[in-house]
Amino acid sequence: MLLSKEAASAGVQLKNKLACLKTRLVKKHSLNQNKDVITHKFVRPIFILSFLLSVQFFIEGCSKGFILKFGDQDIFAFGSVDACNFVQNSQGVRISWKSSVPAHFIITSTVPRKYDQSIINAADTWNTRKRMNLIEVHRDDNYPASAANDGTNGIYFLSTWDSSESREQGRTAIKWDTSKIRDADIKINAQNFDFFIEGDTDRAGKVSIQSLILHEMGHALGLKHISDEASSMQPSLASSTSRTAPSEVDINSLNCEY
Amino acid sequence: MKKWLVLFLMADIVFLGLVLKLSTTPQRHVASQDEAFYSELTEGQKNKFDFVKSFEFLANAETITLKTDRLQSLCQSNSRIELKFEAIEVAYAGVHPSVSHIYSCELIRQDLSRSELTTSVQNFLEVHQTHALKLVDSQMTSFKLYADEELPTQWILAEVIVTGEMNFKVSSIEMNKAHADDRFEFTLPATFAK
Repeated sequence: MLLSKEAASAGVQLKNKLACLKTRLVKKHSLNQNKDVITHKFVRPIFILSFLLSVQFFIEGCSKGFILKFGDQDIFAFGSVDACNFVQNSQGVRISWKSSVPAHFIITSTVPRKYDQSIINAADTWNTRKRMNLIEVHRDDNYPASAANDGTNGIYFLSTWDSSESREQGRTAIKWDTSKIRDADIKINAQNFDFFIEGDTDRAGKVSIQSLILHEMGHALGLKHISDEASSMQPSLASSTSRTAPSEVDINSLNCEY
Repeated sequence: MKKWLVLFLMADIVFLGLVLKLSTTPQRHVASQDEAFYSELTEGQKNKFDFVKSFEFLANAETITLKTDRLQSLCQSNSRIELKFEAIEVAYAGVHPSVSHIYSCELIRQDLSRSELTTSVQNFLEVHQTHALKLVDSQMTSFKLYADEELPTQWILAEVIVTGEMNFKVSSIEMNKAHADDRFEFTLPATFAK
C-alpha cells in the first residue's frame, strides 16, 4: 500500500511535470508563431521588394547596354602639333609648302594688267616681312584662264561667281599631299566687286586689290583666318580700306613652318 | 522557412551587387599595348574612349555608314547627332570643305533596333550643288563646298557632334586613337566628283 502511495505521488509529479512541459512548449510555439507572423508581414515583403527593384534595375541596365557618362571636356586625344594659325590635315599636321619655297604664281590673262604691280607688291611684302623668298609672281598670258588641279599656281579674276557666295571678295584653294601643298589657286570675285590700287583717290565702294591679294597669299602659304585686328588674315576687309602688310602675329605664325 | 529566407536574402544581395557593378563599370575592349594609355584616362575619358571604340565605319560606292551598338543609349539623353565629313587634302580660304549630316534622335528612338547612321553617296553630289538637303529622317548641309569647284573625292568622318543633355564632340584624332590605323576615310566614286 505504501508502495502504491509512493507510486501515486510519483505519478502525480510526472503528470505535473508533463503538464508544465506542455505549457512551456505551447508558449514557445506561440512565440514562434508570432515571429513567423512578423517575418511574413514585414521582412519577406522587403526582401521581395528589393529583389524586384534589382530585377528592374538589371533590365534597365541591359536595355541601356552601358552608362554614357562623359562630357565635352573628356577629350582623350589631341593633335600633337600647335596649329600656329595654319590649316591642318586630318592628323593635326600643319599644311605648308615646307622647303619648296618660293611658291611660283602665274598672273593669268584674266587679271587686268593695271593690277600687276599691286600683286607683285603683296608678294614682296610677305617676302620682306618674313625675310625669306616665299612667293614669286610673273605674268603668263598663255596660261589657261581657268583654275585646275595641275600643280601650277594661278591668280584669276572671275567675271562669274557662285551666287550663294556673292559676298566673297576672293577665294584661295590649296591642295596638298600628306602635309605639303602641291597646288594653289587664287580667285578674285570680279563679278560683285570693284577694286582700287594704293594711291587711287576714288576708293568709294571699292576693295583694295593689294590688301586682298596679300590676304589670299596668306591662305596660299597655308594660313587660316584669325580674328586678331592687326592681322592681314582677318576674315573681312571693309571697302575703301587698306591692310597692305602682314602683322607680327602673321609673321610669328609663318615662323612655325618657314 | 527561416533558412530559405536567409538564402533568399544572400542571393538578393549578391544579385544586387552584381547588377550595380555591371551597370557602372565601363566595358573595356582595349588591346594590351593600350593598357597604359587607358589606365591613365579619367573615368569620363574612359567612357568616351569605350564609346568611340564601339564605332564601326563602312563606306562603299553607295553609302557611308557609321554603326554603334550605343546609338539608342546616346539618343535616350540627347536630341541630335551630327556626322561631319571633311574633304581631305583641300582647303578653301583656310577651311576644309565639309558636309554635315544631322540626324534627329526623336526619329532614331522610334526604331529601337536601329544602330546605324547612313549617308547616301548620291546625296553628296546633291548637297554640292544645293548646299542644303532635307531628307526623310535627317538633313544635310555643306560648308565651303562650292558648286563652281570640283567636288573633292577624298573625305573623312572628321567629327561626331552630339547635342542635348551631354553636348560633346568626337574628333578624327580621337577616332584615330581609339581605332589605331583604321581611319574613317572614304573616296567618292570618280563619276560623282564632277
